[in-house]
Amino acid sequence: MDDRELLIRYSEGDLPDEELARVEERLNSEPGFRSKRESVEEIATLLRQGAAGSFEPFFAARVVARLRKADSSAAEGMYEALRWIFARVAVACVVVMLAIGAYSALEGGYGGSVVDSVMGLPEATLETALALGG
Amino acid sequence: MSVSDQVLIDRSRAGDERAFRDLVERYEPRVAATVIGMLGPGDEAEDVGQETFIRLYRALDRFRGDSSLGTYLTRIAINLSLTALKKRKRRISRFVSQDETERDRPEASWDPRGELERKDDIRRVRGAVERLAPNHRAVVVLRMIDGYSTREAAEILGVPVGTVMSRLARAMERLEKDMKESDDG
Repeated sequence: MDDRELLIRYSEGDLPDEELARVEERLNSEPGFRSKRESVEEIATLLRQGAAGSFEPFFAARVVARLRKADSSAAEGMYEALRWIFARVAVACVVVMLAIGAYSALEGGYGGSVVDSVMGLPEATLETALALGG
Repeated sequence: MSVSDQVLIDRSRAGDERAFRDLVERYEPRVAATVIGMLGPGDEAEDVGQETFIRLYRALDRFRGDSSLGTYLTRIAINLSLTALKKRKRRISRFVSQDETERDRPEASWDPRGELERKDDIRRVRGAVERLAPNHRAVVVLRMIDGYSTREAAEILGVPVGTVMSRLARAMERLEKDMKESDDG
Protein backbone atom coordinates (compact mmCIF):
# COMPACT_ATOMS: atom_id res chain seq x y z
CA MET A 1 0.00 0.00 0.00
CA ASP A 2 1.22 3.48 -0.91
CA ASP A 3 2.42 5.60 2.03
CA ARG A 4 -0.21 8.28 1.41
CA GLU A 5 -2.94 5.72 1.23
CA LEU A 6 -1.69 4.32 4.51
CA LEU A 7 -1.69 7.79 6.06
CA ILE A 8 -5.21 8.51 4.79
CA ARG A 9 -6.45 5.26 6.29
CA TYR A 10 -4.56 6.11 9.47
CA SER A 11 -6.26 9.52 9.69
CA GLU A 12 -9.65 7.85 9.20
CA GLY A 13 -8.97 5.31 11.96
CA ASP A 14 -9.40 2.62 9.36
CA LEU A 15 -6.30 0.55 10.13
CA PRO A 16 -6.26 -2.75 12.02
CA ASP A 17 -4.34 -2.63 15.33
CA GLU A 18 -1.22 -4.28 13.98
CA GLU A 19 -0.93 -1.91 11.04
CA LEU A 20 -1.79 1.06 13.23
CA ALA A 21 1.10 0.21 15.54
CA ARG A 22 3.44 -0.07 12.55
CA VAL A 23 2.38 3.35 11.22
CA GLU A 24 2.89 4.95 14.62
CA GLU A 25 6.28 3.35 14.90
CA ARG A 26 7.25 4.71 11.49
CA LEU A 27 5.93 8.16 12.37
CA ASN A 28 8.21 8.16 15.41
CA SER A 29 11.26 6.83 13.66
CA GLU A 30 11.11 8.05 10.03
CA PRO A 31 11.33 11.81 9.49
CA GLY A 32 10.45 11.39 5.79
CA PHE A 33 7.27 9.51 6.64
CA ARG A 34 6.40 12.10 9.29
CA SER A 35 6.91 14.96 6.85
CA LYS A 36 4.70 13.19 4.32
CA ARG A 37 1.97 13.06 6.93
CA GLU A 38 2.45 16.75 7.73
CA SER A 39 2.20 17.63 4.03
CA VAL A 40 -1.01 15.61 3.64
CA GLU A 41 -2.52 17.28 6.69
CA GLU A 42 -1.39 20.73 5.61
CA ILE A 43 -2.96 20.34 2.19
CA ALA A 44 -6.14 19.02 3.79
CA THR A 45 -6.24 22.07 6.06
CA LEU A 46 -5.69 24.47 3.15
CA LEU A 47 -8.44 22.76 1.17
CA ARG A 48 -10.87 23.08 4.07
CA GLN A 49 -9.92 26.70 4.72
CA GLY A 50 -10.27 27.56 1.05
CA ALA A 51 -13.63 25.84 0.66
CA ALA A 52 -16.39 28.09 -0.60
CA GLY A 53 -19.19 28.54 1.91
CA SER A 54 -21.76 29.99 -0.44
CA PHE A 55 -22.53 31.20 -3.92
CA GLU A 56 -23.09 34.87 -4.70
CA PRO A 57 -25.68 36.56 -2.41
CA PHE A 58 -29.40 35.78 -2.97
CA PHE A 59 -28.65 32.37 -4.43
CA ALA A 60 -31.88 30.84 -3.05
CA ALA A 61 -33.94 33.62 -4.64
CA ARG A 62 -32.28 32.93 -8.00
CA VAL A 63 -33.04 29.20 -7.71
CA VAL A 64 -36.70 29.89 -6.97
CA ALA A 65 -36.90 32.41 -9.82
CA ARG A 66 -35.40 29.84 -12.21
CA LEU A 67 -37.94 27.26 -11.05
CA ARG A 68 -40.82 29.69 -11.64
CA LYS A 69 -39.46 30.49 -15.08
CA ALA A 70 -39.13 26.79 -15.90
CA ASP A 71 -42.70 26.17 -14.72
CA SER A 72 -44.11 29.06 -16.76
CA SER A 73 -42.14 27.89 -19.80
CA ALA A 74 -43.64 24.43 -19.32
CA ALA A 75 -47.18 25.90 -19.14
CA GLU A 76 -46.45 28.02 -22.19
CA GLY A 77 -45.17 24.95 -23.98
CA MET A 78 -48.38 23.08 -23.18
CA TYR A 79 -50.48 26.00 -24.50
CA GLU A 80 -48.45 26.09 -27.70
CA ALA A 81 -48.82 22.33 -28.13
CA LEU A 82 -52.62 22.56 -27.75
CA ARG A 83 -52.77 25.46 -30.22
CA TRP A 84 -50.76 23.41 -32.71
CA ILE A 85 -53.11 20.42 -32.35
CA PHE A 86 -56.29 22.49 -32.59
CA ALA A 87 -55.07 24.35 -35.70
CA ARG A 88 -54.47 21.07 -37.48
CA VAL A 89 -57.77 19.54 -36.31
CA ALA A 90 -59.61 22.66 -37.57
CA VAL A 91 -57.95 22.42 -41.00
CA ALA A 92 -58.79 18.71 -41.18
CA CYS A 93 -62.44 19.46 -40.34
CA VAL A 94 -62.66 22.11 -43.07
CA VAL A 95 -61.16 19.69 -45.59
CA VAL A 96 -63.64 16.94 -44.61
CA MET A 97 -66.56 19.38 -44.81
CA LEU A 98 -65.42 20.57 -48.26
CA ALA A 99 -65.08 16.99 -49.42
CA ILE A 100 -68.57 16.10 -48.21
CA GLY A 101 -69.93 19.30 -49.78
CA ALA A 102 -68.26 18.57 -53.11
CA TYR A 103 -69.53 15.01 -53.07
CA SER A 104 -73.08 16.16 -52.26
CA ALA A 105 -72.96 18.86 -54.94
CA LEU A 106 -71.74 16.39 -57.55
CA GLU A 107 -74.34 13.85 -56.56
CA GLY A 108 -76.96 16.59 -56.97
CA GLY A 109 -78.89 15.76 -53.79
CA TYR A 110 -82.58 16.32 -54.24
CA GLY A 111 -82.17 19.55 -56.17
CA GLY A 112 -83.14 22.94 -54.83
CA SER A 113 -80.67 25.69 -53.92
CA VAL A 114 -76.85 25.43 -54.17
CA VAL A 115 -76.62 25.38 -50.35
CA ASP A 116 -79.10 22.53 -50.17
CA SER A 117 -77.12 20.63 -52.80
CA VAL A 118 -73.79 21.19 -50.99
CA MET A 119 -75.29 20.17 -47.66
CA GLY A 120 -76.98 17.21 -49.29
CA LEU A 121 -80.38 18.41 -48.16
CA PRO A 122 -83.51 17.47 -50.04
CA GLU A 123 -85.71 20.20 -51.47
CA ALA A 124 -88.36 21.05 -48.87
CA THR A 125 -91.57 20.20 -50.74
CA LEU A 126 -94.58 18.20 -49.74
CA GLU A 127 -93.62 15.43 -52.18
CA THR A 128 -90.08 15.05 -50.83
CA ALA A 129 -91.40 15.10 -47.28
CA LEU A 130 -93.84 12.32 -48.12
CA ALA A 131 -91.10 10.42 -49.97
CA LEU A 132 -88.68 10.70 -47.05
CA GLY A 133 -91.41 9.72 -44.61
CA GLY A 134 -91.81 6.47 -46.53
CA MET B 1 -36.23 25.85 16.75
CA SER B 2 -35.28 24.84 13.24
CA VAL B 3 -37.74 22.85 11.18
CA SER B 4 -36.54 19.37 10.16
CA ASP B 5 -35.59 18.54 6.58
CA GLN B 6 -38.50 16.14 6.33
CA VAL B 7 -41.02 18.84 7.26
CA LEU B 8 -39.51 21.22 4.72
CA ILE B 9 -39.57 18.48 2.08
CA ASP B 10 -43.22 17.69 2.80
CA ARG B 11 -44.15 21.36 2.61
CA SER B 12 -42.19 21.80 -0.60
CA ARG B 13 -44.00 18.81 -2.10
CA ALA B 14 -47.25 20.53 -1.23
CA GLY B 15 -46.12 23.57 -3.20
CA ASP B 16 -44.84 25.73 -0.35
CA GLU B 17 -42.22 27.86 -2.10
CA ARG B 18 -40.96 29.35 1.16
CA ALA B 19 -40.18 25.87 2.50
CA PHE B 20 -38.17 24.99 -0.58
CA ARG B 21 -36.31 28.26 -0.32
CA ASP B 22 -35.42 27.38 3.27
CA LEU B 23 -34.05 24.03 2.07
CA VAL B 24 -31.92 25.80 -0.52
CA GLU B 25 -30.58 28.21 2.08
CA ARG B 26 -29.85 25.34 4.47
CA TYR B 27 -27.86 23.30 1.95
CA GLU B 28 -26.30 26.10 -0.09
CA PRO B 29 -22.97 25.96 1.85
CA ARG B 30 -22.58 22.24 1.25
CA VAL B 31 -23.49 22.39 -2.42
CA ALA B 32 -21.30 25.49 -2.90
CA ALA B 33 -18.31 23.74 -1.31
CA THR B 34 -18.76 20.75 -3.61
CA VAL B 35 -19.50 22.60 -6.84
CA ILE B 36 -16.98 25.42 -6.42
CA GLY B 37 -14.42 22.86 -5.24
CA MET B 38 -15.00 20.94 -8.47
CA LEU B 39 -15.37 23.80 -10.95
CA GLY B 40 -13.83 26.82 -9.28
CA PRO B 41 -15.85 30.00 -8.66
CA GLY B 42 -17.81 31.56 -11.53
CA ASP B 43 -20.94 31.39 -13.66
CA GLU B 44 -20.53 27.70 -14.44
CA ALA B 45 -20.48 26.80 -10.73
CA GLU B 46 -23.49 29.05 -10.08
CA ASP B 47 -25.40 27.36 -12.89
CA VAL B 48 -24.54 23.86 -11.67
CA GLY B 49 -25.45 24.88 -8.11
CA GLN B 50 -28.89 26.11 -9.25
CA GLU B 51 -29.41 23.01 -11.37
CA THR B 52 -28.59 20.81 -8.36
CA PHE B 53 -31.49 22.29 -6.40
CA ILE B 54 -33.82 22.24 -9.39
CA ARG B 55 -33.10 18.52 -9.82
CA LEU B 56 -33.91 18.07 -6.14
CA TYR B 57 -37.19 19.95 -6.56
CA ARG B 58 -38.18 17.80 -9.54
CA ALA B 59 -37.31 14.64 -7.58
CA LEU B 60 -39.02 15.60 -4.31
CA ASP B 61 -41.86 13.15 -4.90
CA ARG B 62 -39.39 10.34 -5.42
CA PHE B 63 -37.05 11.25 -2.53
CA ARG B 64 -37.58 8.58 0.12
CA GLY B 65 -34.87 9.60 2.55
CA ASP B 66 -32.77 6.44 2.04
CA SER B 67 -29.74 8.71 2.24
CA SER B 68 -29.56 12.03 4.02
CA LEU B 69 -30.64 15.05 2.00
CA GLY B 70 -27.10 16.42 2.17
CA THR B 71 -25.61 13.25 0.68
CA TYR B 72 -28.36 13.16 -1.94
CA LEU B 73 -27.60 16.74 -2.97
CA THR B 74 -23.85 16.09 -2.96
CA ARG B 75 -24.38 13.16 -5.32
CA ILE B 76 -26.36 15.36 -7.73
CA ALA B 77 -23.80 18.17 -7.42
CA ILE B 78 -20.83 15.88 -8.07
CA ASN B 79 -22.48 14.24 -11.09
CA LEU B 80 -23.48 17.59 -12.60
CA SER B 81 -19.99 18.97 -11.95
CA LEU B 82 -18.36 15.99 -13.65
CA THR B 83 -20.67 16.50 -16.65
CA ALA B 84 -19.77 20.21 -16.71
CA LEU B 85 -16.08 19.32 -16.64
CA LYS B 86 -16.55 16.97 -19.59
CA LYS B 87 -18.28 19.75 -21.52
CA ARG B 88 -15.53 22.17 -20.53
CA LYS B 89 -12.90 19.72 -21.71
CA ARG B 90 -14.63 19.46 -25.08
CA ARG B 91 -14.78 23.25 -25.33
CA ILE B 92 -11.21 23.96 -24.47
CA SER B 93 -8.56 22.51 -26.68
CA ARG B 94 -5.72 21.30 -24.58
CA PHE B 95 -2.16 22.01 -25.57
CA VAL B 96 -0.61 19.78 -22.94
CA SER B 97 -1.58 16.13 -23.06
CA GLN B 98 -2.77 14.36 -19.93
CA ASP B 99 0.13 11.91 -20.26
CA GLU B 100 2.58 14.76 -20.15
CA THR B 101 1.02 16.37 -17.11
CA GLU B 102 0.80 13.02 -15.35
CA ARG B 103 4.34 11.90 -16.06
CA ASP B 104 6.46 11.06 -13.10
CA ARG B 105 8.41 13.83 -11.53
CA PRO B 106 11.01 13.52 -8.78
CA GLU B 107 9.62 12.92 -5.30
CA ALA B 108 9.37 16.22 -3.48
CA SER B 109 8.36 17.33 -0.06
CA TRP B 110 6.38 20.53 0.21
CA ASP B 111 7.36 22.98 2.88
CA PRO B 112 4.30 24.75 4.30
CA ARG B 113 4.87 28.42 5.00
CA GLY B 114 3.76 30.88 7.64
CA GLU B 115 0.41 32.53 8.23
CA LEU B 116 1.28 35.62 6.17
CA GLU B 117 1.34 33.56 3.02
CA ARG B 118 -1.69 31.49 3.94
CA LYS B 119 -4.02 33.11 1.44
CA ASP B 120 -1.54 32.59 -1.33
CA ASP B 121 -1.17 28.94 -0.32
CA ILE B 122 -4.96 28.52 -0.43
CA ARG B 123 -5.08 30.09 -3.87
CA ARG B 124 -2.29 27.82 -5.06
CA VAL B 125 -3.85 24.67 -3.65
CA ARG B 126 -7.15 25.60 -5.35
CA GLY B 127 -5.29 26.03 -8.60
CA ALA B 128 -3.62 22.67 -8.09
CA VAL B 129 -7.00 21.02 -7.49
CA GLU B 130 -8.28 22.48 -10.76
CA ARG B 131 -5.40 20.80 -12.57
CA LEU B 132 -6.35 17.36 -11.24
CA ALA B 133 -8.18 14.88 -13.45
CA PRO B 134 -11.96 15.13 -12.80
CA ASN B 135 -12.30 11.77 -11.02
CA HIS B 136 -9.33 12.61 -8.77
CA ARG B 137 -10.77 16.05 -8.13
CA ALA B 138 -14.07 14.51 -7.11
CA VAL B 139 -12.51 12.37 -4.39
CA VAL B 140 -10.46 15.29 -3.08
CA VAL B 141 -13.56 17.48 -2.88
CA LEU B 142 -15.70 14.82 -1.22
CA ARG B 143 -13.08 13.55 1.19
CA MET B 144 -11.04 16.66 1.99
CA ILE B 145 -13.49 19.55 1.52
CA ASP B 146 -16.92 18.08 2.17
CA GLY B 147 -15.57 15.85 4.94
CA TYR B 148 -17.11 12.58 3.80
CA SER B 149 -15.35 9.38 4.81
CA THR B 150 -13.75 7.28 2.10
CA ARG B 151 -16.64 4.82 2.35
CA GLU B 152 -19.25 7.58 1.94
CA ALA B 153 -17.32 9.09 -0.97
CA ALA B 154 -17.28 5.66 -2.62
CA GLU B 155 -21.06 5.39 -2.23
CA ILE B 156 -21.64 8.85 -3.67
CA LEU B 157 -19.38 8.16 -6.67
CA GLY B 158 -20.58 4.59 -7.10
CA VAL B 159 -17.04 3.14 -7.09
CA PRO B 160 -15.26 0.70 -4.74
CA VAL B 161 -13.65 2.05 -1.56
CA GLY B 162 -10.22 0.91 -2.80
CA THR B 163 -10.63 3.02 -5.93
CA VAL B 164 -11.43 6.12 -3.89
CA MET B 165 -8.46 5.42 -1.65
CA SER B 166 -5.99 5.00 -4.50
CA ARG B 167 -7.36 8.03 -6.40
CA LEU B 168 -7.10 10.09 -3.25
CA ALA B 169 -3.52 8.97 -2.58
CA ARG B 170 -2.50 9.82 -6.15
CA ALA B 171 -4.35 13.14 -6.02
CA MET B 172 -2.66 14.10 -2.77
CA GLU B 173 0.72 13.20 -4.22
CA ARG B 174 -0.02 15.35 -7.26
CA LEU B 175 -1.17 18.28 -5.08
CA GLU B 176 1.92 18.01 -2.94
CA LYS B 177 4.18 18.09 -6.00
CA ASP B 178 2.29 21.04 -7.48
CA MET B 179 2.62 22.97 -4.24
CA LYS B 180 6.32 22.16 -4.07
CA GLU B 181 6.85 23.21 -7.66
CA SER B 182 5.07 26.52 -7.23
CA ASP B 183 7.17 27.03 -4.08
CA ASP B 184 10.30 26.51 -6.13
CA GLY B 185 9.08 28.49 -9.11
